[in-house]
Amino acid sequence: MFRSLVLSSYAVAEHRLEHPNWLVRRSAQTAVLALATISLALPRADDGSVAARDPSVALVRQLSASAALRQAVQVGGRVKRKLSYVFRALLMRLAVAAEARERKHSGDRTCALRVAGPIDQRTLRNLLIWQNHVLPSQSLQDRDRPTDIALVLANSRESESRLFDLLSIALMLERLRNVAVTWEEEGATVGKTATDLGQVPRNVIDQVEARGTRGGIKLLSDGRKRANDFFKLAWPGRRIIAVGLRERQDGTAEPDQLELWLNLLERLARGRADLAFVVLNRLGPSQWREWPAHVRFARHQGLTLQDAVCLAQVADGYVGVLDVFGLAAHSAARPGVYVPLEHDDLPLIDGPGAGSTVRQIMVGSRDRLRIESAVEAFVAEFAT
Amino acid sequence: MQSSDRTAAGAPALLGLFDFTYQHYALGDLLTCQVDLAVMALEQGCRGVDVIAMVNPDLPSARLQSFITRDNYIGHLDNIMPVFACNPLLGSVQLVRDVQAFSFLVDKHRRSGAPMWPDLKTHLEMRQGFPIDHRRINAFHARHGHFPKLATPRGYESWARHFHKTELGGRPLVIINPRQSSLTENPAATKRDAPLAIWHAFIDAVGQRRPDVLVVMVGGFQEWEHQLMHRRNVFIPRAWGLRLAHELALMKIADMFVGTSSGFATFATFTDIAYGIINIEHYFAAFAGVRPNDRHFPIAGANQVLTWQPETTESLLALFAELCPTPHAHPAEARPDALPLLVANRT
Repeated sequence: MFRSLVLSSYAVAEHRLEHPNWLVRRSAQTAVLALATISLALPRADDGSVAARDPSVALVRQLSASAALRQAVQVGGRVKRKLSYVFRALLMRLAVAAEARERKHSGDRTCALRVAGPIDQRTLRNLLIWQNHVLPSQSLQDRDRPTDIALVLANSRESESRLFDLLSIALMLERLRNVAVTWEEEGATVGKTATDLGQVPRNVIDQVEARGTRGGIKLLSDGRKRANDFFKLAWPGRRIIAVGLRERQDGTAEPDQLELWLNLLERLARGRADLAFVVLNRLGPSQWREWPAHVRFARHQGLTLQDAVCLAQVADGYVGVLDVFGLAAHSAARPGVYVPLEHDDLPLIDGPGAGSTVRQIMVGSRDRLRIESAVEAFVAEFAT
Repeated sequence: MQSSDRTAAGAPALLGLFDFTYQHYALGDLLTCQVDLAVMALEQGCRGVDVIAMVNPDLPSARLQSFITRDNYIGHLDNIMPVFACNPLLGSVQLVRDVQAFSFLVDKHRRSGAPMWPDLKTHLEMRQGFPIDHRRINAFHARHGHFPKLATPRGYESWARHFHKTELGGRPLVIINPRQSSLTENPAATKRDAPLAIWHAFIDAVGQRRPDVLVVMVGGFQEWEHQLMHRRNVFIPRAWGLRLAHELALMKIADMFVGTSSGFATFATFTDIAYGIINIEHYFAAFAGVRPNDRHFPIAGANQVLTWQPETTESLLALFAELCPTPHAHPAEARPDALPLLVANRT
């Protein structure tokens, strides 16, 4: 009864937290703080709906983002600083209590992911696949809730030169919020149920390589801007197709794949002055040479890995492997030709992708002739 | 999953908190903090350092970095994350974007009685002076004759050695970082920027005197003028899609660093690399525990030199002659022509 009264009073005060009148605003803030403090001391029901309406959660979120509170605690007068300090301490208590309640109610949100082999193109892709296809089956009741992950690296410290690429991707994933990185050699361990990012179930990979995935990766506003800047500077007015190649362990393009695709792009560009191709992978210095005018390498022109993932989502089309670039492009309904990263025995699917009307050809094979035939068919019809 | 919380296994871990609501996304300050944390961990008998980097997406930056917003903080965070992997005593890194979880983790650590930096009171007061001083590090060095040096970003050392050997021809590396904030999207303190014409002349002179040397320009993709790419003795990691972690890894195996007093100079300061740090601002002397015009930091070796005036080509060349090891110290397979000229693919 009393708890309901507190909650309803909070609702009244909450609406006035950003009131233009200083006095009303401050009174509302004082009221919600007081009510939240009282709520700390009240006995709790284990009812999830009550937890969801807990006033302290919203209060913590709102006041932790208050630039005014930061201003007061950092550069206010002596009294103001002291009061703000108490305010921050109380906020922290409220946050701790709210988190403890959430953990009690729903358990720890952290999923452990072990990385046993080197971090490579497959690992980056598998993190997205894990989020979109494995995680939902593990957390049926909390599909919309953000998830925390703990990456436990089993490798020796000498062979993780793409660790920060993996973190770059983790930061772009829609359902991931907090990310911890630790090493087995530092004593970290994972339970038997932890997923190994190198061992995502074969049927899940098959499904993704045959049909792609849906969503799960953000289009960052910065990356979108830089991708568009790149298009406008490099090839104003042209139709731009992003190209994703298989990579070596260090993240550079596989040399034979580079040759295969460059030859193909050369053929495609003949007689098509409207087309241009931007490769999303890095090259090593020993791979560099003079490139034709219709081919560029975005990562060598200032775009980061995150920018390149965004570029894949906003280019006019995509051709290449279903790695994290390919899955991002496929999810963003980019028309294109999508080649499996690993498997060769999947059916060819030619038609609109799920939830889209554009032509997305899933080659289902890494056979060179099948890839070339699909790409030529796609480009022949592309924007003509 | 059990974290690398070592409190149960004997000595506790020191928790380092980086709350970007009031701390800065600044390479130099964050690097100094890593050494500070390592010193604290050693002094307090901790077995290592666990780092929490906290970003509240609704208030992702301190007052002085208001250009970092909810819409672009991910890129800034992504760029700076390798700094934490340079901590020589690192046990784990947690990137937290949720106030509740952050408070819970801090409170849990505090209840365990294990030490943390900053202490809870300082954290709640959101107090962090800038620049970060060297007081604690200098004192540790004075007592022990050494200090914990910054490490190669974890996992990148073998990459750096392999890349140096196979892609850079094993050539001697001289890392440069002439500050050029005026070329960035958020220019700040542009009076500290380096005069690029002087640096370009320096690079050309190095090319004539030591054609075996490869000059490596570190820093953001925007922070150099395109003429730098005309030079055959220059390698620019960011123009090859590499990132901060790769740059710092290459610095650790380089022969020499010369650059403006800035973030990369801080990395050099806390490693063994021979360096010349250029044009240090006089006000910084007090923070570093030196007097203006002193030639060395108290923790520095003989081949780690400070200058307090704007550079000239001659002064840079004098530093190069003094600090860069002679050719015979390098492998015979070093090939001056090993690096292709990356100019053909520019729009």
